[in-house]
Amino acid sequence: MSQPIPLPRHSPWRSQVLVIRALFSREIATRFGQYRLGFVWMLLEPLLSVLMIGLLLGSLAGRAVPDIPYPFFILQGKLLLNLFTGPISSSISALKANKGLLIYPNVRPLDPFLARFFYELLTTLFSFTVFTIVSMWLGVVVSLGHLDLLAACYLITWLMGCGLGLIFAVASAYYKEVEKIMDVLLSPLVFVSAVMFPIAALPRSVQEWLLYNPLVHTIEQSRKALFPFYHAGETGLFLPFTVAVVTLGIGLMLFHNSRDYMTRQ
Amino acid sequence: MIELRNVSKSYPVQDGIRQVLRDVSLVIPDRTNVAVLGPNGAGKSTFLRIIGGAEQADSGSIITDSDISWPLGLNSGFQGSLSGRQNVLFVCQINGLGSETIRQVTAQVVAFAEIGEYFDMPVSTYSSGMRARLSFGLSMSFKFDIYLIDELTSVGDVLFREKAKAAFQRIRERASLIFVSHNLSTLRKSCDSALFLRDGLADFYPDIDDGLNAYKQYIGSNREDKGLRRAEKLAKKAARRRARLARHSAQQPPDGNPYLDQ
Repeated sequence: MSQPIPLPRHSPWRSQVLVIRALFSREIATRFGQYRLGFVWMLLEPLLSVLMIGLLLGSLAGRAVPDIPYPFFILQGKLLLNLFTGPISSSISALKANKGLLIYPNVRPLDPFLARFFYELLTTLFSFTVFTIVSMWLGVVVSLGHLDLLAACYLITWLMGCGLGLIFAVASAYYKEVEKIMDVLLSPLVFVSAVMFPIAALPRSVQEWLLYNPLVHTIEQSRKALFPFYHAGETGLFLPFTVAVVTLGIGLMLFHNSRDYMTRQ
Repeated sequence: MIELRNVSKSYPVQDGIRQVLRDVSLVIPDRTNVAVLGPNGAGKSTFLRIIGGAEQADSGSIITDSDISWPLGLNSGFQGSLSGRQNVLFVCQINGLGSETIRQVTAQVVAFAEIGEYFDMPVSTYSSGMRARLSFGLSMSFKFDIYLIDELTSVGDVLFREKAKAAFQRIRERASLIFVSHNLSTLRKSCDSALFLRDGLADFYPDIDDGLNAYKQYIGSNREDKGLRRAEKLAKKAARRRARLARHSAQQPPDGNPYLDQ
């Protein structure tokens, strides 16, 4: 205890970056620190769930999508679905898991959420990159000419997840039941979000209903970005973009108003 | 020096709103150890969190030119599933320290905390004494002008308390304390002045004896309060139990438990 060390002062922006980076590595340490080869598991986790569906349904529904190899088709949908549900399910416990750390003045109540959101985004992007490279190596012809559209699909899906995640987190602080209901709400999404079937292959009346689901739009458009000849039906990014902006706005506002209540839970 | 100008703070609780500070203006001068007094729920911990910058006041401003620590409390500061070492690393990282400094801090914390192999085990497995050692060792490694202490030194063994006392003595020339504790004799020993919080009001007393008197008077005038009556009853019960235990152990033969010898 010879030399007390002075703490350097940083600009708010720099401090924010430092905190989110530290929370991010803390997230990785607690999620994968207890496994051997923890880092490999971080990649395998999303890949395995995608492979499972691909193997189960690949041979059954292979004929439904002529333009795209079916496993890769599923993969696209599942990755985007994970990017949507990931922030939602991980944000509910974000504050509880980091409560002790909020005592440090640099750590703002929103930071644990941001760290978890970025964690979901980066792991999904990483899985996507690995998967696409492996698929291309296996002979899947992927078009990289519309990466801007692809990036927009990923970003919008993620932002919708973040906005809803904040809303759910606030709601669950006031009503414990929300936590239970959430799983029930999220599980049918895999069936109604064009993950396993292209929207164009469905009857007209069903299509009309499914088009209210913003995830259908981003998932289908992301396929169109990678396979220009893919028929994405009447989907577009306007609805999901609006949903992303609105949910984020509401989520941030609700969070701002109830963060004192939430941090005392 | 810390100056509060028209600071108000309230926060929502399950059944309404609790007002902790109502338009409070006061100055805490440099170089004085401050005892924070007040009944349970008066907002002592919240006050420390506001001073430490972990929480924002609803209105008003807090002006200071001092480096203030985060509040050292038992149930905060650490992430339970991370080890002590990882938690120390976290605090270093959020402050942007370089790897050489981080090594230095870690070595100092290890030397102060003396928790052995527990340093590499999850903090959730720690006893409250070990938490206090870690928390104390960590913040004493950094140079602050004012250390905020929230009931931290009331736990731990004799060795830790001695260590904490020695550390307080050492930093006395360069830093001061703002101290929350329900142990009035500890406060009286280590503090010069007092801050008395109750019902949204806060008063600063340059002499701790004045503060303690005001606090005792306030408690006295609230005798009818149900919570206090209950606390007294519990205290009496505990005293009776202690007396019974003392009698019991006095009757016991000196060579241990008579029931086990049979």
